[in-house]
Amino acid sequence: MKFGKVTPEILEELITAVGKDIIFTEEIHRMAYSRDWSPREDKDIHLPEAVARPRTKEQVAKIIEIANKHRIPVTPFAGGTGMGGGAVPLYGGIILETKGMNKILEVDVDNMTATVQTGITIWDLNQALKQYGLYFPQEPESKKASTVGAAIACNNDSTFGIRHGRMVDHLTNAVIVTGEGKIVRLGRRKALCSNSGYQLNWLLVGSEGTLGVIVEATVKLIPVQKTRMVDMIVFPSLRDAMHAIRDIIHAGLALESAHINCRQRLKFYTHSYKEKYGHEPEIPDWAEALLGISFASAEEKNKVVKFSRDYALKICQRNHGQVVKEVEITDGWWASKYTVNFTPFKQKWPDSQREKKFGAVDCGIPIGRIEDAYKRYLEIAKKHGQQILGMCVYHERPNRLSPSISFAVFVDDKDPENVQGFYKYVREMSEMAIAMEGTSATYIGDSEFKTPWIGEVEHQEAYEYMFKIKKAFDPNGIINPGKKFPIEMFGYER
Amino acid sequence: MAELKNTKKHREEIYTCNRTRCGFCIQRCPVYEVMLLETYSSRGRTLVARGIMEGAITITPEVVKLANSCLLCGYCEKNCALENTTIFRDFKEDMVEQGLTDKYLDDAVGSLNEFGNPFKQNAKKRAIPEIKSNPNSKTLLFGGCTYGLNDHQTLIHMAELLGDVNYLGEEEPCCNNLLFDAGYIQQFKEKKSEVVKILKKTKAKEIVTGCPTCFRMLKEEYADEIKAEPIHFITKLYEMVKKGELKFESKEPLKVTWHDPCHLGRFGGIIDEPREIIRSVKNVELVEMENSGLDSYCCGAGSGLLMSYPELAIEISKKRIREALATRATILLTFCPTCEFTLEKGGTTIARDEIDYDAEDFDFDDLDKVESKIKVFNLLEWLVSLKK
Repeated sequence: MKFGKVTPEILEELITAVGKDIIFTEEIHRMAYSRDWSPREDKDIHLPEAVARPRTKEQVAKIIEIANKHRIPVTPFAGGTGMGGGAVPLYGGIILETKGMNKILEVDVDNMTATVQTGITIWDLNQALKQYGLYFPQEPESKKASTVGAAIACNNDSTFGIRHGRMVDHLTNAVIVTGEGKIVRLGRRKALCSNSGYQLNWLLVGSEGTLGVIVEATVKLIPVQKTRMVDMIVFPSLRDAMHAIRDIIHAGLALESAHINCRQRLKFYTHSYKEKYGHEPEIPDWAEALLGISFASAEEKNKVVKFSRDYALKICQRNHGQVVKEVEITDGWWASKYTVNFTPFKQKWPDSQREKKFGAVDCGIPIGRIEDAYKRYLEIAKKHGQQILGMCVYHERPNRLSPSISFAVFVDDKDPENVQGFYKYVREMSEMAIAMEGTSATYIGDSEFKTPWIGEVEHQEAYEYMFKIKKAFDPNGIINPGKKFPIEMFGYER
Repeated sequence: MAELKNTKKHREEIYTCNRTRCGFCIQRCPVYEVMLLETYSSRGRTLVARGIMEGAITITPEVVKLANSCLLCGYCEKNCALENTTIFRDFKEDMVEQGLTDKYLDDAVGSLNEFGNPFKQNAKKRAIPEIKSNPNSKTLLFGGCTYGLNDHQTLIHMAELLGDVNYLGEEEPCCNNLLFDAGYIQQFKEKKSEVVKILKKTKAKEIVTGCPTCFRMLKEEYADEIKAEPIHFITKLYEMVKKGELKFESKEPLKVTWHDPCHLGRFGGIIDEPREIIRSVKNVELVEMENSGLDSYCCGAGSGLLMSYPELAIEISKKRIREALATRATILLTFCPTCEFTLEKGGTTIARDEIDYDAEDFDFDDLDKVESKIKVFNLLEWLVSLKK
């Protein structure tokens, strides 16, 4: 069995159902949706047959109903900043551009929730929430493109994970359109916890758009933070940096962010320093880890923030840390993680990728094994010809050491062999993480690259139950095919 | 395989964008925000260019439309290390070189050739008897087509404040920005030498203009050859206010906002001066729109969009007007003939959209009487009105 194609008759059917201002088949639009941010060879492009840009959930339902009838793949597309091919229409069909659904449906100030159409970007939501003094604390670096729906589907990293958690902590309910075109609300409306039934809203978090198209969501908010202090500290080892975070939490301080960068990764944040002084900053030879932390409060000029920060720095010193004095470096890091003021981005995004492409594997490693994992990362990257970019450890659950790690490399995407080397690197790193009792994925997901082997490598007997869940939502496997489950499991041929 | 001779020069930049796809160019791209398709964003455009270069897709009429729909407003460029506006201007040039042009832009180009301005107006209209022109003046007042043909009052006020000026009137050439930004580069080069010849004949040490587009063109494309310094009138006005030569006061307390024209602010770097001028006016509070200064949002008329795709341009101007309305200011100030016209249109379109056609007292005459909820003023005209 093969996937259906968008024939002229089906196109007519789609246009009749939702209107010609929603369906696009011109080559330019198909081309513009042929890629995300994942490393791939030049020739590895996937043009969808049509682009749909619905404005309502009812339109999404009609599109999927027709697609399901004809077994046409539907790939949801949002920020397009995914690093694993999650939004790439591998088997053609219809790209479902979700950013057309960008309305805020309700801001409930008393309950501190926002209900939105999920195509709104995180940035736009936060701009609109300012007038209420509220803030949605999901903070991926891609927030200007990434949408609320994408944050749910991809469970992306958040700068403030260690204080506010990430999507699993924010989402109270979501409305999805299933693979059969049914509109279903999952989760409890605004109750912040529930024991009734199964918590299906949480199942959506990290589902990579494989259970249906997420069209509406209600998320928890916090007050706008008015006082904040940001610091960076260098440590002689990754272990010391981890211990410092642990001790800060255990001391009773509310860390807002805590990221550990390895020595190599520091180079991403030195642009402002270099512009000012004309040379790279001198990092002490002994420094192996660079920790960035912040404390914040909803009160103006809050003394708790100052106290917490001073206390935390003492804890860092006790763990052999030394505070970074060059403000430009700290600002560069913070600009990259939060303010997204441009200067560091020049270095970080386009400029760093003029020759080679940023690629990463997102393993989760138990806290005691991160140093081992770091050593193996250097070896495995070398073995597959990947240039080391550096490691960054995020913490993503409130008040816990909860590493979500980016093991990043520069992929030479002009060299097909090097791109293949990257895919091998992803697999070997994943196997290493699982052998260390960790997980292969913490923020990118299974996406395109891990899917062919993820059942066997990570899930074993549980994979069968996952597949049953997938089939319950999407019986014909048309929603984002090739992600999480190979299409052969549904009986499709390539 | 289709040729993209000029765009190809940026192959590495285009591939770097595809390698990055950070998506910072989507936010606040005025065209993207109306069309809501990746294709119209900067990263979408580079992907389309790459698709053509690699032969994955062909040049269709939609590609031409895509090329012409970029405002070259520079917002994406400000958020990126890549030279997006240069890439997209060259992309337009590639279309023009292959004869793939937009008929409305062609029309304007035809007008430039025939009338010396893009608006099919008689050059005689540039003559302004009220301005006492001194051919030997060190200051050349460059009216620009829009003020020169349609809004003499602003030029008269500028001349009054500048004092001794040389104003070329009928002889004044067009800055040819339309040719430049719409990709008619070959024709631009031909016209450029004519302009240089005319300007060189004057005794000017400085060329003062009120049009930010003329200002940018003079500065970036002509200054090297004409050896006179292009100055936007705001700089002159700012100096006069700073020295205390000009003082203004509003009788009523007023809240106003300032729209930065792309060519004046983001490209011209004149951001603080107009704000200082406004702040110097007694009884007036300046409030900022959500997007201002380097982050300003285009009025919608960049690179001839109001000619080629007027509906798209007006949708964009409506967005800008809504930003202005959100500040609760009652006056929207700017200093650009194109922005003034387009924003005014955006404001009245919003008002028209809000007319209840089913109302019992609906009258077709109301359509002509609608006024923008926020008044759009040229900064100088507004200051002069305060004096009355």
